[in-house]
Amino acid sequence: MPEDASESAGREHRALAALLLLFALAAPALAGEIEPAAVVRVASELAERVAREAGAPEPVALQVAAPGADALAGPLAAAISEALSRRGFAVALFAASSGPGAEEAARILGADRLLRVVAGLVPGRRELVVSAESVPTRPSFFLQRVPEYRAGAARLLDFSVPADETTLLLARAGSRAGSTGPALFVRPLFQVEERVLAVGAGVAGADGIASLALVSERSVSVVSLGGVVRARYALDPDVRGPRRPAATAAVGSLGAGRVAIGRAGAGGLLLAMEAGALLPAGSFPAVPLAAGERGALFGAYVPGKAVLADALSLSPDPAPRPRSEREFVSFAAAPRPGRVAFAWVSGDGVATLLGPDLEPVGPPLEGVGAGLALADLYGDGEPEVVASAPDAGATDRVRVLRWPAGAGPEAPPVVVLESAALPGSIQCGASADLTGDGLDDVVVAAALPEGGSQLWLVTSDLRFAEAR
Amino acid sequence: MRRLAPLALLLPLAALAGLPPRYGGDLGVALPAAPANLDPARLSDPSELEAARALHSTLVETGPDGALRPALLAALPEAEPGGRAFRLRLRPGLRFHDGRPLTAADVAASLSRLLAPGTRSPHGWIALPVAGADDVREGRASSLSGVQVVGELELRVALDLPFPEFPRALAALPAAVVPRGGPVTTGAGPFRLASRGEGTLRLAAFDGYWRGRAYPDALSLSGMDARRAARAFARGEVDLVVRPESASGAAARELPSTTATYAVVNAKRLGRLAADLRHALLALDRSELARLGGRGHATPLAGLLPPSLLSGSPAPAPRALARVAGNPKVELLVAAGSDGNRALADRLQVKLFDRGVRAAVEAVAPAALLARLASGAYEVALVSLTFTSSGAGPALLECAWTLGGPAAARRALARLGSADAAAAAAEVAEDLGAVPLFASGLRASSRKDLSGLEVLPDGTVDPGDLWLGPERTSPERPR
Repeated sequence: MPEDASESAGREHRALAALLLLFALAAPALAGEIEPAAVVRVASELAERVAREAGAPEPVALQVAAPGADALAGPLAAAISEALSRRGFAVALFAASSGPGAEEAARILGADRLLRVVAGLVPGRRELVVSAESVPTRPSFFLQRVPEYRAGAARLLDFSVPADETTLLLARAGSRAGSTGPALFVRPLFQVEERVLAVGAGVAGADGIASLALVSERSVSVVSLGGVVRARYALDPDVRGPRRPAATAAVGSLGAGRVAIGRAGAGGLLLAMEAGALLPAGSFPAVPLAAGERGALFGAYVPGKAVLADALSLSPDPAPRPRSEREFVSFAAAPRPGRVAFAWVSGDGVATLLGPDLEPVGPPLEGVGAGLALADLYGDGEPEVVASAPDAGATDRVRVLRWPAGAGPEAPPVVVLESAALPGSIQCGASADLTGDGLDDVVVAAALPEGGSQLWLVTSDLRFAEAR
Repeated sequence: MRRLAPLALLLPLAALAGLPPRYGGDLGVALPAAPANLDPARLSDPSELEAARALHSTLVETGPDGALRPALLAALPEAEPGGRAFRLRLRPGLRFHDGRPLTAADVAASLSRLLAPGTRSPHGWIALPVAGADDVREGRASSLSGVQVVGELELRVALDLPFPEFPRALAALPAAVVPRGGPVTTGAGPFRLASRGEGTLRLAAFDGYWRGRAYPDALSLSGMDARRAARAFARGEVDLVVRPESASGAAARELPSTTATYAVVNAKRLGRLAADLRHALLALDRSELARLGGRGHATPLAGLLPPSLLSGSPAPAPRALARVAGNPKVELLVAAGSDGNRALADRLQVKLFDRGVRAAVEAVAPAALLARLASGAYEVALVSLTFTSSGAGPALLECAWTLGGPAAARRALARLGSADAAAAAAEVAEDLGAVPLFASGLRASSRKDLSGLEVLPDGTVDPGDLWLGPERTSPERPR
């Protein structure tokens, strides 16, 4: 019926317009503003608070530690020292290992105050947190009789500021080990009851906390790295999809608080996270594949099948023209593209690598499973390939493939990590800086034989060095 | 640290469980016989059952785990209070292979045609519980009065008697929905009929299948004898062989024993002799008969239903050798064209002779055998029944309908309401004069690069769920 067709087209146009509007609204938030280095901001804020507490300039003994981010300690100590000096304080730097005798040592040195600072990155957020103990050490009446007594009460000063790239670089400098870069760790995160079809990773809420968007046959959940469900949206079960459900998920450049998902047989859906709830914000005919630094990328499922067509577009094209008859079972995008920006895997386990211009780069990689992600795990500007095994059954494993330094994707990559056998079969993966250390991390979801999925984290963040 | 060579396989690609099923390729299946009848209402053997599984769709279906699940229906049928009526609601947007929408009216017509005299269906038992069944069966009405089309997607089915297992009867493949006005080869299953050659059916994946397009692009169902099937399997010409024996020494999977063979004694014709004859037949070594007449793997049958349909049946108890007095003569009816049953009839002839009974074997056409069973025009009949149902209650109806006709099925239906399935089965066996001999099932031999093989309780395999290895699917072609 012509009326129905026009109505349907109208609906599609309205959905598209809504989506573009949302993109436009998100743009200013994405642009960002130039901020002073986090280390300088922390030092300035701390000096200000100490000055307020002291009332007048005094000699201060400064002790700075940054466990897990050792390279941060020196610059931070220098910055705090400078900030205090500018306010008239005389600063004596103590080694961080001075231990419990530091107060006595500070007193002997003639300092009226010991400032004990511990700094680090907030797990899951790109934030530098500082916890400073301000301990009065000046001589007092009580000290003549009982040296253990403090001249006054110690005060705790703690706060955090957003971590810039320089700070993140310093924080992870100590984790570099040899020529291959930092060690990589594969760590279990949590299990979910429903089988995860697609994972999106990034800042899914307006609060800046990195989260995971998990798409199952029945729902979309935004989940913290610790497994806490932050929001959930029930999907329409009456979808005439393929016999095996398939989905995509994208989080990132769609804007803060937005998650886009696609389902075979149902097209794409944009969800907005508001006040702890996921609400539908628009729908579109294409399926979202990625939302990285370069913007959103859309594709399409082959009608009736649980495979993606060889079609990529920068807008939700209702009828994309496939470049070939090839079909793909999964797609991956690097959050920060290098020479390799995207990749997809065909049903016979062959990964085709694509550059930022969406054109193939380098020879294809064979022997790759459906669980695929591209991530700059080493911070060298070139993403690595994180892939599951094509022959997984009751168990699977994660392999990280990296191109040798200086070599491009034309060269054969090197397997720099092969995990132990992990239970289940990895079906999907996603990448983003989830630990807040400034480097990409990868999350993969393994379908468990007994049902549900286990989420795994692949990271170089030393805070995950110890197996939990 | 290792280097990953481009285009060098790290692992064999034979079992790509880490990758989802692949679409594409032509799947070849060898069956014991070429499916002659594609009308689901008239299917009668495992080959036709397998063809129906590919071509047609039912309202509900029984999963590999035995659980009932909605198929063409949006949800399992809801029983109204009292259990004498069910509400059925179809999924929206269903279509037949030819593009026609599948509606509640098609469902109503498909149920009615199971009983219509013109259909000559051996599966009228499915619609027998529905109000107005006898009117349709006897030609007084063209549609079931108990089926009320409420809307385009909804209908209400009223039964004569409470029959809680009615939804399970609807899962039987003969209850598949076909379009009003035909053709019956047009269904709503995962494949549509492409061509029908000599001994081979060629089917193509149906893009509009409600559960999603089948993995293979095309399916060939061919009837092959054991030698030809083994040769074709060894050459890679077929991917799956469903036959009594395993193909070419390949490890084969045993399918459920859904074909039962009975000796049916007609008490009305034989009078007092019937009881003696049944006693003599029950005393036979049924394990030996299973070895002789069973095709595929066979097990002696103690109860009326195979263990896959009614578990807990005890093994046949040995009985004392019985000799029938008076050297009576009986006529042993058997279906022509069934080599196994003919050999079995010959063996029964000898066994009965040892017990003082002279049996004359008469082979008749399968349809004539069923007609004579229904009309009572026989003395002893040797009957093999391939069950299409997957629950004890519907199976009892199916057995009673086949061995004793509609009247016997009605009595079985009444018994189901007053006794549990095991007790009802014993009563129905007595009523029918049936001596269960053995149950047999086929074997499925599959090539290594065939994945997704899941056997359904009726012994069929959904070919749409199967997928082929990468070398058999479509090559990647740059456009």
